[in-house]
Amino acid sequence: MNNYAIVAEGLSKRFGKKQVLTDFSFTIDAVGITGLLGRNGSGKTTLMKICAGHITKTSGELKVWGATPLNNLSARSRLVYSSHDVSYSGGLTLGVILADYQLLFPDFDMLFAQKLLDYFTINVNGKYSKASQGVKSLFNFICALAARTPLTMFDEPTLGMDTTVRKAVCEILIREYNEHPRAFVISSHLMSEMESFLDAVMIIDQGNLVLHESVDTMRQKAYQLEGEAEVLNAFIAGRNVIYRTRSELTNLAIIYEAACDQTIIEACAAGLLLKGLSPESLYMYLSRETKGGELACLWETP
Amino acid sequence: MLMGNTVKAEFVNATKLFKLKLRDSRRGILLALIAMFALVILNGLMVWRGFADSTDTLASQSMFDFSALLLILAPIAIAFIFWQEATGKNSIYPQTSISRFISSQMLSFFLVFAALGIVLVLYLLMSGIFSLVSIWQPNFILGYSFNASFLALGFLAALFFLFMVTTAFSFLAVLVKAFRFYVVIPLIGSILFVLLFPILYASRAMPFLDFLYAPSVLLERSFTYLYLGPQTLVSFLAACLLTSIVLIAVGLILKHFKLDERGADQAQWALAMAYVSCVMVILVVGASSYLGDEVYLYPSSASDVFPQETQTIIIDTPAREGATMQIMALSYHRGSSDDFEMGSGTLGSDFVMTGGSLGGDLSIRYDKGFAFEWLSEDYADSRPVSSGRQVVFEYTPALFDMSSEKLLELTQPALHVSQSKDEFSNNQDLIISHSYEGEGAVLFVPIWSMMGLIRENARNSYPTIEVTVAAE
Repeated sequence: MNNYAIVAEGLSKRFGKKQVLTDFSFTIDAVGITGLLGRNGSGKTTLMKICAGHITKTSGELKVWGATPLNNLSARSRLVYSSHDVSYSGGLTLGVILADYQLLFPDFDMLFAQKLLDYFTINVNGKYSKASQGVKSLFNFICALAARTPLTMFDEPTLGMDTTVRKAVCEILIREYNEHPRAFVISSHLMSEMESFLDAVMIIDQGNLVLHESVDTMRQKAYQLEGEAEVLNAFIAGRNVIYRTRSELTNLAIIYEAACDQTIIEACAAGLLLKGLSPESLYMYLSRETKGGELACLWETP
Repeated sequence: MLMGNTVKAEFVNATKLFKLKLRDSRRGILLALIAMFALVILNGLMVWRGFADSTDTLASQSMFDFSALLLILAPIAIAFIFWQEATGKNSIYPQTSISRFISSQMLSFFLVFAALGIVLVLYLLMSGIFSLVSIWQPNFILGYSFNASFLALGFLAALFFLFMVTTAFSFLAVLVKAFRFYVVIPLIGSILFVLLFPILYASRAMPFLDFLYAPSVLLERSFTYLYLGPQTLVSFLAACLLTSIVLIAVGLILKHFKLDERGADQAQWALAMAYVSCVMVILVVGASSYLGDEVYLYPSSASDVFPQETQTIIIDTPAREGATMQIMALSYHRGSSDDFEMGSGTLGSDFVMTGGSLGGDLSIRYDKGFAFEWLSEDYADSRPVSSGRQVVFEYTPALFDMSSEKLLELTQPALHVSQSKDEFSNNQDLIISHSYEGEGAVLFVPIWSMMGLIRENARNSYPTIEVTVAAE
């Protein structure tokens, strides 16, 4: 019995001259939901595809259920990677695709899949290629969920879905996880809707794994300080500052280290405003680098 | 174990992937089937029209050879399957490069098998329909008689050949992807094509390519030795089978050790170019070998129906000096009194022979005592023949080349030689007659054109008429 669904050590990926992933070392628990956060082009999809055995790694070690996923049928049959751009042969109806899943995934629950399709009033006789992006995403989500593989990876599962459907999808995911606990890895730009049920979060920025923590730990460690510049500078000296901005409107610092009671007391005493940060907010600050500097600069006269 | 998976698991997975691929190919298969049936109907109508418009005493029409079409279409379809397999993105379903490779092989094998089956069914359908017509209309003759063993052997030969093409194309994809031969393979393919092309036309149309002719011939002959000019069916099947096994085995080994989950985009153009070159090579080689004019389309030779026993006549020596022997030759179709050719020649007092002409080719050779010597073909240089020597007339009947088919056997040719002697002049007449059936509409429904490679050449067995000049 593996304790970890995925174990990566020094994992790197290069496409030609472009370094896409650099020295990733992490583990994903055999049971739990891990969120993958990162901006567009940060390397989330590449990481998931390597873990799913769809593409090769350039260097490092990677084990999925104790085996190299690439070209390994036993590893591949114990995971499903569902992305928003899954393509099937042209002209296939949703019902036929479901049958394909049932043929190739031994634990695929056809009844569950059909119930979910009924719930969302999706017609199984419709063609996949004719479906809207939202319906495609929902269908892919349902198929991957019903596959009931020990490791399920969703890449942007809610892309194109409206708010109502997104909320329903999150609820279904939670219920499914409670009924059939297993490893889920989910990448999404909408972590605010998912962070409530995530066990851990990985934040990727420009091909680097900048943070991999449990959500509880992140909530404990990430906080924001706001106040006068001199006081703030003095207070944050020697602390793990991950973001610092100073402007006429805001003067704040994002700290990522455990804030003990003493820290909170000292901050309040110094007249600084201390607020906790959600994982998504932390992710925003961790990956907020821009080439053009502050947004306000865009309206400044040269 | 195979990369941590049992061979059985890989095979089971490959079978499942094959089912999916087959399902996805269903529409294409259906379209091909409809197209082939439509071609049969269209071809049948054209044949019917051809007979109706013909004014020949012996009209001949040939139906389309669908096995030849298969030799062209199958490599294209196979190339497309492996191009898709090699350049397609990784699927969501559990699989490995080996199971994908095997499933593509399965699909290709299945399609080849099914296509050959369809060709066979079409042939049986056509033969059945026209057989019924021939019962109803006696003048309507089916050119090729039904031959079950030939059908079975031809099916086997085409199957093995196309299996070999399948494995060769899949191996090409493996090479391109495993070693990233994005340039080398298309280059080799192009060179092969450029070398083989002059064999047919290029050196004539483009003289500057003359220097390529010799290497082209060498390459073509090497290839011919193995696959295109087999002496027996068994050697052909063995060559195809062995090549297939070797290519699959090496392909699997390369798949096992050289991961090819990369370079799908780069491989697209490289493999497309390589496959286009390969298909062109197959078409060029196929056109010059399997489908060429020199290849007989059916394994029945003229010798099957032509009288084989030589007719020997002992001719008395002209007793009187100055007496001659007149050779009369005539050719006519039975039931006709006015449609015959006649030629004559003279065997003179010193046994000088001159030639006659006939519907066909008549050659004369005589025994010089130690060897036979041919008289020149046009008989312009008449030669003296010593008495007591054997004179052999070799007669090659007219082949009735019509629509590239040989009507000889259907004409039921008959040769007869007789001698008459004038008691007063001592002159003699040697009469060679060739008669044949000349009325009817002959339809050829060909199949397995590639079997022409394997059968014996009918031209090796022609009837002869031996005439011995008796000793004085």
